[in-house]
Amino acid sequence: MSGRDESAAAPAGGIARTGPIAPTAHRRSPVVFDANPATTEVRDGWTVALRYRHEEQHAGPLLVDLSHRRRWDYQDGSVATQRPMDLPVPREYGQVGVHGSLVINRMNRTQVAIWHLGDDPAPTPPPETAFTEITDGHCMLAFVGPEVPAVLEHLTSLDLFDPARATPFLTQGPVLHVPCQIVTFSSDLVIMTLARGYGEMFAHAALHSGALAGLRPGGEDAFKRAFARATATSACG
Amino acid sequence: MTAHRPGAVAAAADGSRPASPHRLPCGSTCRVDLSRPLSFDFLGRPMTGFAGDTVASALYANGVRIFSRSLKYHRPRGLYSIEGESATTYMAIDGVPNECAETTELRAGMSVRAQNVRGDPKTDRFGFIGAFERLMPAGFYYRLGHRPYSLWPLFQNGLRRMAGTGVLDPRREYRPGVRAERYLNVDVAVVGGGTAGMEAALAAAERGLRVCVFERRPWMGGHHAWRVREFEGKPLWQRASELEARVRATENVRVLTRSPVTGVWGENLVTGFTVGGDDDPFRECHWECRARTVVVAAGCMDRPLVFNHNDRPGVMQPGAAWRLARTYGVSPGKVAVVSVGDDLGLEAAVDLTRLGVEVRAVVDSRRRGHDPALLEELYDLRIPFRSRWSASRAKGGKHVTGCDVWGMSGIGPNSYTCDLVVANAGAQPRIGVLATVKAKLGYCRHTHSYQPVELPDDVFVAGSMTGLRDPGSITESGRLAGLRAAAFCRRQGTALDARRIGRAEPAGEAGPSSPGDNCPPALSAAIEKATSTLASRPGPVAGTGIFRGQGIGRGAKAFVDLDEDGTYKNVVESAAQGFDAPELAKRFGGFGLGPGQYRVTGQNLAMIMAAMGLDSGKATVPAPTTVRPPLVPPSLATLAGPPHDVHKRTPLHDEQTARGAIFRRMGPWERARYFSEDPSCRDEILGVRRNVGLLDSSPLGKFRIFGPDALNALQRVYISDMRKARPGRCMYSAMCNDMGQLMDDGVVVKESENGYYFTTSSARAGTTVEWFRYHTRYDGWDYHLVNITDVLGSLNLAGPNARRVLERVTRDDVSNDAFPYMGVRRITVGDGVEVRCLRLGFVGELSFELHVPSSYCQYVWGLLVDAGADFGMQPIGLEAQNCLRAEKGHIIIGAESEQRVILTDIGMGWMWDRRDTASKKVGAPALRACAEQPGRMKLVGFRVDEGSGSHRGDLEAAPGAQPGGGPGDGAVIVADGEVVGYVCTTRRSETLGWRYGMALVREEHAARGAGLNIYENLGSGRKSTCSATVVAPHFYDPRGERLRA
Repeated sequence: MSGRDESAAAPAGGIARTGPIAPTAHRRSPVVFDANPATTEVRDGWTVALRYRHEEQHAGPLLVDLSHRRRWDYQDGSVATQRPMDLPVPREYGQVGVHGSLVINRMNRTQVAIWHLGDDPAPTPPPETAFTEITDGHCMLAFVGPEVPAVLEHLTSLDLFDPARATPFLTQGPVLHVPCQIVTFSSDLVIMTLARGYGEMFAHAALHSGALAGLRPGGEDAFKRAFARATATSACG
Repeated sequence: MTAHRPGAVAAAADGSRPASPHRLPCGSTCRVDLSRPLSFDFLGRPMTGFAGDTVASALYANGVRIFSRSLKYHRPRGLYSIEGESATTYMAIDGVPNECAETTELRAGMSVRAQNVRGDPKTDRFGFIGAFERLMPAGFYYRLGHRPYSLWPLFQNGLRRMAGTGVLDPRREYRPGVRAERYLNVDVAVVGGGTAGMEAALAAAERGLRVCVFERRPWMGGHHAWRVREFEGKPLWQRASELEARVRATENVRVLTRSPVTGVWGENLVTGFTVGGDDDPFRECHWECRARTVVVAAGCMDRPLVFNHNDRPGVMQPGAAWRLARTYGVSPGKVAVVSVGDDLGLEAAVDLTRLGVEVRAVVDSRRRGHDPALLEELYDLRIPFRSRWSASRAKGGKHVTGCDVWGMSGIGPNSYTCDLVVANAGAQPRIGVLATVKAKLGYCRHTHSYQPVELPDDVFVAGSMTGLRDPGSITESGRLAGLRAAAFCRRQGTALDARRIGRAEPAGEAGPSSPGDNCPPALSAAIEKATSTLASRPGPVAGTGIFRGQGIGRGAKAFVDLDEDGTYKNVVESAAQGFDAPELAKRFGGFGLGPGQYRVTGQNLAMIMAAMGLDSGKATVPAPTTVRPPLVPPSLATLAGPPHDVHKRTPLHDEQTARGAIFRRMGPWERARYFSEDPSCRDEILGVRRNVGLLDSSPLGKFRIFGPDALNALQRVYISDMRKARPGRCMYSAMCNDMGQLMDDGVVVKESENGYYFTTSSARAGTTVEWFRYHTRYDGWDYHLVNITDVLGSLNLAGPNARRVLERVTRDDVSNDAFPYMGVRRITVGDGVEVRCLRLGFVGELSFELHVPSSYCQYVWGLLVDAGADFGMQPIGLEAQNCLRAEKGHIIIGAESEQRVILTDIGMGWMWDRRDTASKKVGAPALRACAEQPGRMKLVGFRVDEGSGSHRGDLEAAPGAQPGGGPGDGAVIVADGEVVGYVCTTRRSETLGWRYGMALVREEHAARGAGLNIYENLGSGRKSTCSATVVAPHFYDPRGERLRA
């Protein structure tokens, strides 16, 4: 179920209080930005901020909450030969495949993560025990726009922009001392997931440190544009 | 600051009059913008400097000559160095003590104060202390004032008051502003942005490598940046400026100016910090740069000349005088005597003369090796020059009024009247970075300096610190270092790839020159060419081993260390008492232990000790002392970093906040501990016992395990027979370590043929996956684990009315028949949210534990709160849960267990499947060996005897005291004057009306009915005692009827 709210007079205080909430909008993201969304949408029980008021005047980097995007963990002893959700598993650890709206990250010998990032409805995983839906277990954030490398320099010592690695690629390690799974799509789009419990404080710290490079909250529309650009130019599969 | 462009002083270019009598028309090298005046005050006196000035240059330009007083003797100290090499200009700036005026850029409104001064620096009331020098020999504080020892605190405090270096007010916030930290990953980190460093950066960057240059000054160019001497038809400053422009324009070179390096750590982690300028959004930024290779091109500094009264204001190093004039446009003095030991000093003398300083004489301690062109220029300028002479005494009181020079052979003295003595003994490399990269340093008798004897494979050295002085040699050495760094990166597998910078890899660099070499032929050729070019140019110049002038002593002080007031005489005293090596003398006499560290003192101290050893027939080679980071100190606030505390919050944090929760950190989680100011949690406890309560237990570990070998893994890790786990039932079990100690407990639910769901304690959730993998690492089993702790929140609905509340939010049958104790069901609540519901009883009451998808937790919480409103349901915190479970006798790992007790000691041996040896259960062998071992500690319950408690002092108000009085958690149990155990948890039960607890005691005191004497020292003379009787540790509902209701 979805319903779009073009509320022009959304009150301050975050997405939880903007516009009429549909009866099924029961789900809550771990992240609440202290900013006014101009447009929100209720989707699968989540209230999703599509655009913030300041985005029109803000040319800098944005932090977008994608915690509502569905994600699955898939584990199998012979994962390399499997096709979870009919997706080819990247050959090497750290490789990422982009297949339409689905992204598959090869984490290790036995494990991949699958993210649904497109506009189409998320697929239903086949009834295999190897799949675990982990949407609710993670906070998912996208760093979008110019100066993303400068923002991330404040947050992690990981080499997220190693020019020797072909984008998109996966890095697993600490950001703000929190274990994260990070996919670098391009220099203006990096997506990371982390344990949901850290989400609120992590986003607060990221915005605080990233403010030195102009980081501000952003809506999902900005992410969609960046994802479309990045996947148009990145190697897929 | 925007004034750091060469030639910023318009006055110099057009010859117009400078802004103050002390300002010079210094020309194109000047970094000060006279069009941008900045007001500040010194000791309350208003002064004016300019953008681009440092605090020191601005003070000097305003006629200030005494900046501070020395640490021990309170001697007047002025501008001796220019880049913070010594602490003579450490001042209190805007209330912050120990700020280096030489490196602190001037800002409008600054308030500057002298340090270590009583009154005005010119008339310091403690200025007489120097007359008592005899009472303060080297290491006097190790010997004086210790007998009788009771006097020492008085003496020590007096010393500290006398010799303090600034005062901090703990109530004040100093220098508010953003302290950032940033991380870099590069292929080549270049330390030093001189011409060698810049060439190295360019050479590496041209191969597509990512390069970062750390430069401590606001601009690049090193000592070429202020030299007007021409090289190959162009002034050095102009060449440096053009090179800087090229470097800054190179996309893959990151230039960090105002960024001193603090050290190089393991795996080439280069740390440094940037001091924020006007345009920066931070006050200081800490850098951590991980580099594949490091090029050290840190340059040289003046090596001080030790002579009588070499600390007088007006005595300064050539670099200081020269840069004061050339960089800041400030005249160092009117009439100067120059005593140097290298060609840069001679060049400074020539240049100062051209800038209008009257140089009366130039003496050089070297016998040979002078640059003939410089000697010719001195001759042309009619400046008297003497070789093998040096300054021996600065005259004057609070400022230099003259100088004596002596010949090394004893001829002299020649006396001159002057207000400036420019002196050094030569140059010494800045070896700090080399020391932190663990280079082995040795003394070079050609350059008379420390040079690397052995370098790590991934560290390269370039520039003037290798003894080179020819500008062409310096730049070529930098280029060679950059190429070698690139070759190293290539050998390590880094592609010298053109796509990194969007252009083709230089021709021929696509492949290795030979198998196994992995260095492209063109790169090898470039290295060979640079090597031969460097070899064809002038090599390292000869230095001088001279460190002091003639006639040291003779009623005057000659300082080796200006920071700690360490004199030449003190070095001799140290050696005479057996501290005859630099590392020993350094500690005994304090040489080099001041803020300047090794910079001024290091090499001279070693040379003096070596010379003294030579005199006595001992060691003759100056040995370097250890240099430790931080090479340049950042502020503590910068090291502390941004004020982030990234921890975990449960999905119900906001709801609990709204209900008045008081939170505490528990591991990574922030959890609700109380819901009132009452630490006994009386209302919360009684609410659960008599009605119903709601607890957020979301941090509880939650896991999926599946695969053909999932059961094998469970059998290995859990101590029970896990084959008994079956669908719809919770099976309680525990994990032990190899020593049989309890590590974790929780419930396991079989959900499918090869799939299980299990819970762990909150504390162990983060390590459970590794625990399984570690203990099955050799078995090759096919099973998989998913940590879903954060996927599911957990709400514990507990109390006699729990079922009635739950029935209001679900249509599923939750009656006792359909859903018995230890059952597990999937039920639907509210608008269709499916949750796992586990019927457990940790708090000893009818309980339903709802495991809810985290994003729905707030919704489900709201449902339950609404449904429980009619019953007066209240949320409860962890402390209430702790009391409730203790009443029931349920243990918490770590509270009622520890490393001295095993599973059987705490009454949980019933879980252990003793017949199973095939599974190789973790901890089973230890349990077999120790379960029947006599004399072990045992977990017991106890009931405090009524009226037995006594205490001395204000116990109720004492920290750690229990509500209601009596010893608390951790109190010891004593018998016959011996400690025989301790209290794990004790509370006064609101339900039972008496005080109970659990304790670990020696077995002989664990029998039911045994008496326990409990003692607690609460400090400050307060103690608490009581007696108790050992009882069964199930105080509440021992038959479990309530939780099965």
